[in-house]
Amino acid sequence: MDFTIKVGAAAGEGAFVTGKILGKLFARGGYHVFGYPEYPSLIRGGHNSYQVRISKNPISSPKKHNNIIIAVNPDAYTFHKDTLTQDGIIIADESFSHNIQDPNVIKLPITSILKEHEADNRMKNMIFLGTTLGLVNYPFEFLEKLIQETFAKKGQEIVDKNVKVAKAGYEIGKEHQKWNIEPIGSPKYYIGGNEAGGLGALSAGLKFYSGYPMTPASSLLHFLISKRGKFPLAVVQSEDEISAINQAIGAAYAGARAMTGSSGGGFALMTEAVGFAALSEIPLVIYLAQRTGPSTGMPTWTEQADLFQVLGASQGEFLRIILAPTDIQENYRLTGEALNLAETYQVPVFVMVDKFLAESNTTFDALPKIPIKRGKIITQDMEQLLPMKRFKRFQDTQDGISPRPIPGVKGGCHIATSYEHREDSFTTEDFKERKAQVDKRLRKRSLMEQESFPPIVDGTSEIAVVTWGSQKGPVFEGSNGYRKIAFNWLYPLNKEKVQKAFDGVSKIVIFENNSTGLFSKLLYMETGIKPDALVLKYTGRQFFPEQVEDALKVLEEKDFQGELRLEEDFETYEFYAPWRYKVKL
Amino acid sequence: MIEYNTPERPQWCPGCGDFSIHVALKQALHELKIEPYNAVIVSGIGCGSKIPNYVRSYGVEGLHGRVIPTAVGVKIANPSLTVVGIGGDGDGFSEGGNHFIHGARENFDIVYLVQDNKIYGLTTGQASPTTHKGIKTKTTPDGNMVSEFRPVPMALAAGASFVATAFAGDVLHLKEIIKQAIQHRGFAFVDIYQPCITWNKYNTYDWYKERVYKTDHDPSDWNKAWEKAWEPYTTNFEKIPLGVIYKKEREIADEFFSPGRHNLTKDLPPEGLDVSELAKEFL
Repeated sequence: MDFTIKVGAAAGEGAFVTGKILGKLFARGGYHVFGYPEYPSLIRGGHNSYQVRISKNPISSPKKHNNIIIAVNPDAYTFHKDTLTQDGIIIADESFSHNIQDPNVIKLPITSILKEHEADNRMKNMIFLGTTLGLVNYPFEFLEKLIQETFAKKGQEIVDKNVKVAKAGYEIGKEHQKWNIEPIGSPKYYIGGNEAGGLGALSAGLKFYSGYPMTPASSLLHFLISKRGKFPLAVVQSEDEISAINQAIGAAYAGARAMTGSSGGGFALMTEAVGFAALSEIPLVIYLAQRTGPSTGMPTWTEQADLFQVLGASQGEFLRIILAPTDIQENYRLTGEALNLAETYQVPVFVMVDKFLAESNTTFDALPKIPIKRGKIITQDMEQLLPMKRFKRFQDTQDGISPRPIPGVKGGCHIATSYEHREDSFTTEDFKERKAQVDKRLRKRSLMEQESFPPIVDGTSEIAVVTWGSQKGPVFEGSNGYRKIAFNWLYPLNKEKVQKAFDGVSKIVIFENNSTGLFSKLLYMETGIKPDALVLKYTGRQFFPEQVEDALKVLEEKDFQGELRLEEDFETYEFYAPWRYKVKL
Repeated sequence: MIEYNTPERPQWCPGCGDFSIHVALKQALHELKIEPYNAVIVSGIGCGSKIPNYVRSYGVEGLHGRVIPTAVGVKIANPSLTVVGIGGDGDGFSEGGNHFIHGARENFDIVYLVQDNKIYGLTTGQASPTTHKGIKTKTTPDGNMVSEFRPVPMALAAGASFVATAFAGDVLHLKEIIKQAIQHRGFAFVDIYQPCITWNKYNTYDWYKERVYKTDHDPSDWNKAWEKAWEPYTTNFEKIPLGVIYKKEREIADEFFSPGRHNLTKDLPPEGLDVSELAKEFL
């Protein structure tokens, strides 16, 4: 079973709330769910949509087609109707759809239902939800329970009214019932990408987060702030991103597990401090949620175009670790793991997600604890230092990693300086000491490579379909029969581990959500592996599984050579300016 | 104060005000009986910002202009530490102006000392935000034409709960002011007037000595404080008050951003933390 429902509405009309409720209802019935929002950078006046995909198997991609479309407003009908499956149904508000001659449309008498129950207009989405559940014969009790939980605080009257209008919608749905989606198992969590990252970080001991609002990283800030006060945790909304990263560096120096986050524009402001963290070997995690660039770009759309910004951020040469979780579940694990890597290697660690992963939702069976590894931190008092002595914080060790006492620890006095320094942390311009410290810092790479995650491989075909980060979901889904390879550890790469994934491969096709094939270049730089074909998409949307299938068919005819630059081939309406399409129904 | 000494001697120009600030800071920490391992000196970049190298405690010599956010991070992570931010006028009022305004507004529980010599020293003598009108520097060869930044009124307007001025030529008074700043709960800003004997030939020790006087007004009186804060500018620098200009404790941002002000550096169970309770909203 693979079922999709799309809610479309004007901005401010509750498409996301409605869609998320649907996702939650099916997650509670034991389904795997993937929820996918699309919206413009406007608060009112644009168009919003949210697709809920339901499956008995794990999924991490939206699909082009919809079995049910909930058209809250006329634009929703116009924009999404062509994505309806052959046997699909559109639920539309009668007030605008009464003239539509379309056998697939159920015209909901929203106004009269609301009037009958003396309910206000805000409750109209409950009618849509009820009708949707009726159409698929999903037990009404799920919705009733959720309404009770959601509106309990507002009083029984509000709860009853919502239940009544939802029930009225449900009855209409039942009259047209076409599918049977029954609960199949115990409830799952239904979690957003950024929230999953936040939870993973908290499990791994995140104690300090600082950020400045920027789409699509903001929901992580919101989520963490909502947890402030429940247990020891500091979350700071900083005056700017420069402050945010320096605050996180200060907290990390003091010994708290610290993270900052932003999108590319905010991260550009943070850049200088990345090098400071690296030189003074302060463990720092940077959560980077990419969006469509350059500059302000298309703030609410997605892209994987900031890889070289991260790779080259800050002057000078230094090691950093770059992770790119390949789905929302992995974002939970890797954002937590990033804190371990940062403290183990005392380097900046990046978690690169994008709008697609950050703001989509998916289901989790459980949230396993993430074991905490703090590396060479020293939190217990040592012997008092002799007068005039400092602790050898930057001791030239065999593995390049030095013991790290935190302030407050007796015997550990040293400074973290942005100047080159000696083993005992005092500033130096001594050529020998300079070289020794550079060598020491770079020496960590060998251990990092040992610990690096090998690429994810699925299948044994001679033709490899490769991608990175969030695009794994759609690319893997659309490339059955091929050897599927996805990278979640982008840098530094271990040549042997990577080559192993490509053993016996004759053709390599790389899919990237950008216009210049950034990861392909990095892969070549690091391993010498070169793609035969490149499929690039940079419209503002991620790949869809159907597009991946089509692209591979085209490439097959070209013996998997060359470059494809994909157009957007469905729902090409612009969400920012729906008035351009002069909808008349 | 031997516990704060380092084997390296500070490399400042002979006669630089940084020497007395260095001594006053170490002496203040010593007299307050703060163990060196419980003190963190956070600086930026500049001549004076080299100071963490010469104080044997914990310290951060961070980025130009970023003293306040870095110090805030340290303090929130472990509120039991004594955190002293220190940097120059270019560092704090130009590069870090945004942090100065918001650090004062939010009233973070840190000390912020500014070595205000009205010139860029380490970059060899360019005009700074506090350079007076008419002064010739490398970047104002025909004399500075723009108004100077007014740190004390600015700190007051932004909401700092402790604002003081001191003079590097009076080390005992400076030390007392630093002690009071450390003991204050909230954003404690001290504008330290400091001659730069190499690059600023105008605001010399003698220039200051003719103008400074110790104020004895009630520092909890906002109107009086406001008047004192403006005095150097309303008198065309004929009268420069030294001492605590304003002091009134109020709520601190640390408590808001880190409820309970826990020590966040401790108690991480190796097996990780269970977040299922935190994720209940997603079920």
